[in-house]
This record gives sequence, structure tokens and C-alpha cells, in this order.
Amino acid sequence: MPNSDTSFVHVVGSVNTSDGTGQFLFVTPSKSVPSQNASGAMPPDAQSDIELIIEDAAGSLLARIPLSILRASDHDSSPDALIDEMVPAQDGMARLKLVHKGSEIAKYEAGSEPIQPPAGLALGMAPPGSANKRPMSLDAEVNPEPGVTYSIQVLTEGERLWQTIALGLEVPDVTLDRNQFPDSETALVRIVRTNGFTESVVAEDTVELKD
Amino acid sequence: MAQKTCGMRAPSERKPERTAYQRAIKRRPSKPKFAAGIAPGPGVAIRGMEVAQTVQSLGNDVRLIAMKTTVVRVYIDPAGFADGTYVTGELTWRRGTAGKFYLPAMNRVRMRPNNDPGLEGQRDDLDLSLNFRLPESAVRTGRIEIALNLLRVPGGDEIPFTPSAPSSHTFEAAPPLRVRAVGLRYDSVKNLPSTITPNSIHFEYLRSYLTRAYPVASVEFSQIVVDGVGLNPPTSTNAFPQNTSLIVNAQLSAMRTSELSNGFDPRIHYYGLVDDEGGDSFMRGSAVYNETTEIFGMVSCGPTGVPNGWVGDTDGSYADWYGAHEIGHTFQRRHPGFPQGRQDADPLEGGFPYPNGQISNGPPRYVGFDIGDPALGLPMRALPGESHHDVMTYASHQWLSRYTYHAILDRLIHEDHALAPLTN
Repeated sequence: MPNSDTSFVHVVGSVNTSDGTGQFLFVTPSKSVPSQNASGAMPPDAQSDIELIIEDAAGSLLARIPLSILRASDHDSSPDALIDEMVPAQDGMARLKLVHKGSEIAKYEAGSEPIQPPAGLALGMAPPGSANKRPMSLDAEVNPEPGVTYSIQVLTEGERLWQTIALGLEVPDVTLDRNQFPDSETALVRIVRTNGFTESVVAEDTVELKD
Repeated sequence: MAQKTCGMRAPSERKPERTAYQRAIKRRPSKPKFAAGIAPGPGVAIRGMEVAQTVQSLGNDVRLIAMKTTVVRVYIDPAGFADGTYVTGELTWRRGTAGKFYLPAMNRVRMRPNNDPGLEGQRDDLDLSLNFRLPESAVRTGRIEIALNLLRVPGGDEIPFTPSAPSSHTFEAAPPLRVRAVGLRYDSVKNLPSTITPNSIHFEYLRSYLTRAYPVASVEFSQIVVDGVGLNPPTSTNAFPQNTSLIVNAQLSAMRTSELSNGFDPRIHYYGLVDDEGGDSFMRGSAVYNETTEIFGMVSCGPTGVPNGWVGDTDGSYADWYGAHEIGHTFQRRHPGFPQGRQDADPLEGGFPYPNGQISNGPPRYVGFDIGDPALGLPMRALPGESHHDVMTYASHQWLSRYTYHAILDRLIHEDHALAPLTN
């Protein structure tokens, strides 16, 4: 079920309009619709070779959305393209399908809801020769799960906005480079788990960035 | 009579010691010789004056951005001067009917009447114009009047010149350019074991170029380096697979959505930089383009590295013009189709007015102006309109033409309102 404070699901995928292949790249919940994300709203009667099908867990059709094809500006006549769509979150949505000319080319199954309680952050030692970089992960064991990804967000002291330093991770392991946050001696770091349609903070802690 | 002591003269009898300094005494500079041969009568002719920020014509028809660094260039006819005479000067500026401010020139110009390049030749060389850098108080939003007040031989006599009526110029408010530069790391496969990350110089060149060349007074620039997702460098060639920029733009789009959800400004344009590993791993850049709505998105990406003379670039990075090109797409700019055979013209770009992708045609003739960046060792210079090309082309020596400059300005103003964050 979508979170009550998430209104959309951001779906990004790649397609090859020549050989009809494709994949989902990022499926994440979003609280807002960034304007001019190039997808735009397709006209109601628009025809497109690419469609997004939204189903519930039982396979019932919830929505069928024609998708805009997004090309690379400087790659003339390439068959590679993106789809980039903000989809209104729907109750019961559990599955996405990418369809090209009527054939399914990719499928995304929402991952499980988190069942373990929030964990802590584990900050490892800097590797030799890279004193500014420290590996970071959850202090609980995490195995990759289908449909589940993690993002890492950082809020440095004095700032009010969380920066996203990693997303789409199968496991929440990242190297924290403190030189990305000069002028900060500490930072709040949080790990956000998403099953594509909902998300939750599974760890949040203050990390020391000074020597 | 002073008493002598041991053969030494008394102090009053001693001749002053001669030092090297005293021997070379010249306590004041010589009064410079007045420029002989100044024509009598009305005096020196002023060929023109232009108010330069990024690109300008003698008619001053390129819009001026408030609070953007501005230099007034004055062109003096060298006829009648003794060859080699130096000239400097002073201008006045004022708002409304208020009193005038006086501003000395930044430089002096050497008059070469026997080697006169003409007005357009003077415009192409910053050393051949008398240049005045307007202070911040002069370039606030609104209208000012500018007039040349005097010419003189530096430290010497004034030079009569034919005065002209003060010229009026309007500075308009422009929004800042908001850019988030995202460096994308990847693991090298050719130089193991190493992780390839764009160096700081590339971020700085990009930020500097956008500040100097884009129609803005300021750039709100943030940067970060993250791991690239799906960045698979080439093993047997020196180029990333063709669709790599799409994969990078996908990551940027997802990152942008995540950060917008956390309150980032929707007007921020995201630009990804992928280092070319010394030329071993080149990723062709792109912005995303919706063929149905005919709109470019807010994310784009490009390679970066040392240009080594590529398209005439001999400085420390090509991240600047390359990024300005791709970011230009995100402001809805299209390919005009130059050089022919190397860039296809976008069928929806029907208005580019200059031949060969230049930043100028004529008349009127436009000359670019780069304020330079001392922090990067980039000098202030004039950019001849025929040898410099629009940033949306694939030609050499890229800068912004009036056409692209005005279009990006209009788009910036539109986005500033249309994409402004919602407030509760």
C-alpha cells in the first residue's frame, strides 16, 4: 500500500524501440511531481508504442498508461530511449509491466514491506590510503530482495535539505566520502528502504566527519 | 671652527654620502610629452561605445542583466595621434536626473594611426578599446546614462574629443541559474585498480563558464560525487556504449525526484559529469527529449576531461562548454546544424540567424565578451564573432550568441515562475 504521504510513484526505465527490449531502472515513491521532467502528460487519446500497465497482487488491471519516449538529444536516430513517468499511486498496486507494441518487455514486482525494526548504522574503518572514505551499512544483516532497493541520504549540519548520495542499491552499503561535505563535522545519515511504492527509514544516525 | 678629530672631517664639513639611490635621483616621473599631432578643431573622434556582458553589438541590442559584471568599451579613432601615443579616460554614469558618478578606465590604449585595424578590428581586441568596468551600483536594475567624460594622455594633458549625447541603457532583473552538478564515479577497467572521479577543476570550469556566459548575474551551484549506477566503461574501445548517457540521465532523474521530495528547488537543473579517464573512456553527453511533447527535461549529462586543443580548447577542462551545451538543451535550445555534416539541424530549430553556427552575422555584427576568471587563469578578452560559434553547435570556440542568450534568458524567467516551489 502506498504511504499516506506519498502521492506518486516515479518510474524510470530504458527501452530499445528497435528490438523491443527494456528494463525498469528505478521505481521509487515520490511526494511531489517535479515539473518539466520531460515526461509531460500524454494527451488522453495519445498513441504510443510503449505502455505502463499497473496491476494489483491478483493481476487485476488498475491502470494502463501510454508512455512518452524520451530520446537522447545528441544521439541521432539511436533506438535507445528512456521512459520517465510520475504515476499516481493507487491502492493495491503491486506490479508494473512495460509493454512494447503489445508485448511485455519488463516486469516489476513490488518488494515486501519492512518487517524488522529500524536498525543502526555501522561505520567501518577507512581503507588504507583513503582516510576520507569510510564504508557504511546497516548494523543488521541485509540480503538482496526482489523489488527492494535502498537509498542513502545525508543532512549536513547547518543545512535543511537531505541530499541523496546513493539510490537503487540492492543492499544498503555505501562509502561515505566526508570530502563531499566540507565544512561539516557531523552529518545525519539515513537509510531509506523502498519496495517501489512505499518507503520507510530503516536507520538514521549522526555520523562524525571530523578527524 | 669645528675641531677635527683624528683626521676625520667635522660633520658639517663632510660631503653627503652618495648612494645608488641618490645618484639616480628622479623624485617625480617626467611629465609625459603631449601627444603631438593631435588634430585641432573638434578633436578626436569616438567611433563607438558598447556595453558588454557576454555578447554585444554596437547598437547595444543585447539585453543587459542587472548585477552581472559589465564593461563599457569605447573605441577611439587613432587618426591624428602621434604613433604610439597612450590614451586613457574617464566616463560618467548616472540614474535619472541624479548627479553623475565618475569612473576611470581600466586600461590605456596605444594609438597606432599607421596601423589602424578599423572599428571592427578594435572590437575584436580588448587592448584596442578603452574599457570601463561598471561598479555594482551602476548595474542594478533600472536605467542608467553613460557618457565619455574625458580622454587624456596618462598623467598628462587632456585630449579634446568630439562629444556625443549620453547613451541610455537598461539593466533587467534575471533569476539565478540553479545547477546541481553530479559527478559520477566508476571503476576503471583499463587502469586497475582505480576509481575514476571527475576532479574539482571540471566542476570549477563549468561553474565559471555558466556564470560568465549565461544570461545570469549569479549561479546557485551545488555539487556532489556519487557512484554511477550501470556505468560500465569500455574494455576494448575508448568510448562508453552509446546509450550510457541515457542510463546516467535515468539516475539523475531518480536522484532529482528523491531530492525534490526532500524539498530541493524544482528549478534546479541537474547535470552529470563522467570523467573520460584521459580519453580512454569517453561518454557522449545528452539531455532527455520527449518526442511527443517536444520538451527537453531538466537533467542532462556529459563527459569531462582535458581538451588538449579539442575544438580549439586549450585550457584545463572541456566540462565548461560541453556542459553549457547540454544544459542549454534543458533550456529548450536545439541544434542549429553546424558544422554541416557533423551536426544535423533540429527540424524545430528554424530561427538560428548566423552563418556557419557563428555568434555573429552582419550587420549588425556581434562580438563576444568574456570577463575571464582570475581564479582559473582565464583572461578577460573579446571574442570575434566570426571565429566563435554558438554553444549549441558542434563547432569550435564556443560561446553564446545573442540568439541563444536571449532564448535562455526568456526560458529562465519563465521557469522561475512556472516551476517555483509551492508554498503552504
